[in-house]
Amino acid sequence: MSEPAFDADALIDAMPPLIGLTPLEGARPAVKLHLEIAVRLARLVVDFPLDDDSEPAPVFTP
Amino acid sequence: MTAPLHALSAHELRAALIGGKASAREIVEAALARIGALDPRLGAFTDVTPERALAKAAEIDAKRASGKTLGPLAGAPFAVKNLFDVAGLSTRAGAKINRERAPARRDATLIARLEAADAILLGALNMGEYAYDFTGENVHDGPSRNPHDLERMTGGSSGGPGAAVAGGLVPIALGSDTNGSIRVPASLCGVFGLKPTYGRLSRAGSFPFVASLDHLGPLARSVADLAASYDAMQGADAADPAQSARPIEPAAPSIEAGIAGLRVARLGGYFARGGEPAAHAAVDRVARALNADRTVEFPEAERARAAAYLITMVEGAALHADRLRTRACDFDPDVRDRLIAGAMLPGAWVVKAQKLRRWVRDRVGEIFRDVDVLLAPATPTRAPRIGQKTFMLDGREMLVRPNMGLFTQPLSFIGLPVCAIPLWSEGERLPIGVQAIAAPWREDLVLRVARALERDGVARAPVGEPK
Repeated sequence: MSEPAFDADALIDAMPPLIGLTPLEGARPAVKLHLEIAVRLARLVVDFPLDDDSEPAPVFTP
Repeated sequence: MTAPLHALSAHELRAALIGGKASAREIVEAALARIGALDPRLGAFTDVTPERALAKAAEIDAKRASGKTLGPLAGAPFAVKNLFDVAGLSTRAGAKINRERAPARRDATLIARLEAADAILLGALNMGEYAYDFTGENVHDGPSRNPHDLERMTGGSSGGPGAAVAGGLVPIALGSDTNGSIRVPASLCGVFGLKPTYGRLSRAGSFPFVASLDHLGPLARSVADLAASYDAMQGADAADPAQSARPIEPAAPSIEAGIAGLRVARLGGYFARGGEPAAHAAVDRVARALNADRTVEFPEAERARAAAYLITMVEGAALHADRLRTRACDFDPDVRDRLIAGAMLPGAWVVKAQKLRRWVRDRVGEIFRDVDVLLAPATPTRAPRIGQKTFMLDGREMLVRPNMGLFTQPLSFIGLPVCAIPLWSEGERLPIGVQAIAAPWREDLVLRVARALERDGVARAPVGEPK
């Protein structure tokens, strides 16, 4: 089953009230571009298989 | 002495001071004159602190006159990216908004430590707004300009530090590096830059960007200066909760040890493609000089970079959430629009990214069982032109601002210590850097390699004389 297409404009319309941002129409093309880059990169992260018990590293000790 | 004071390293300045060939006051006056002459064109400084510097110089000259032992950085002028707190200055972090902050009441920990070693603070340096930048451009303060070609970028976000050191305004500067912001300007400006292990140096008194990934560190024109300043800044600081409990492990004593016995390999795969030929040729040259004939793979480098990218977007957006709500028009639009996008991303992505971070760390730890130092390009290109928005990499047009960190980002993601080492090819008027990378807490190894390359003439960091 293929994933539904990501609609950046819909997110840009929906999110500002939730996070308290005033819509900046002039910023829409750039925000959209950055969202699309993030979605492409997120796929690399989200698709990577990790065990349920793998620990995040919020306070990181190399 | 033939070289002018501004062209000397911190070590040479200390020797001149001890030998009575120059006073600390003369050193400071020479640096202030150099700043006065060149900074209007370089855009490196946002604040110069001459009174403070002259007072410190007087203190050092009095110390010498009374026969007291001088600190390891005695008489060395330095300056700091303007996200470091400097007592009496508003910590602007490259932002218009931050100029309204009350002046800092005390210096950042690392400034205090360099001054305890008798270095002399000369002021604060230009940077990309809120450190979300790889170009060195700043819409409020103007760009910092590359001393080797004023029409070219310094790289960022520590653009002022890159310009100040490469331009001979100071021998040492401090920057920050979340995804490459010390190593990118070091590469583009042709200076040495050290991003220490995550948690090694105190971040207290610096304006944050991404708490999970922020590092502070030095840039310098000589490896000895890089090591001496790094050593002077080590040590526990209760004011930084992210700092690791490590003892002070001085690196300077071993930088002359050479490469004998070191197992050096180059990184393949992700790190061996994607840059312009000059970036990979620089790694070839360093690998030949170090007899590094092995290639190893960094596990899931592209995913590591992606994860660092997402963590940066989300943590950066969280840090600036209130300012985005109330002061959106006062941001640099290039920064603001990335932050707004970051504010819209799902939290689950970041949790997964942080899990991947631990996974990558564990796998890379296995590589370091039989390799001491890894090599990779520092930037995919030499310095782009100021204002350039895109470049062609691997046949694809890509944005400059987020992609100058292609090769730095996977490494800082897991906190490895890295030294950016500047190389110049024959007849080329712009440098490009190579990263030497070691296991956590082995800054000594990357500095040893950098020094061996500097001693053999493979790496160098000449003072730029802007035309």
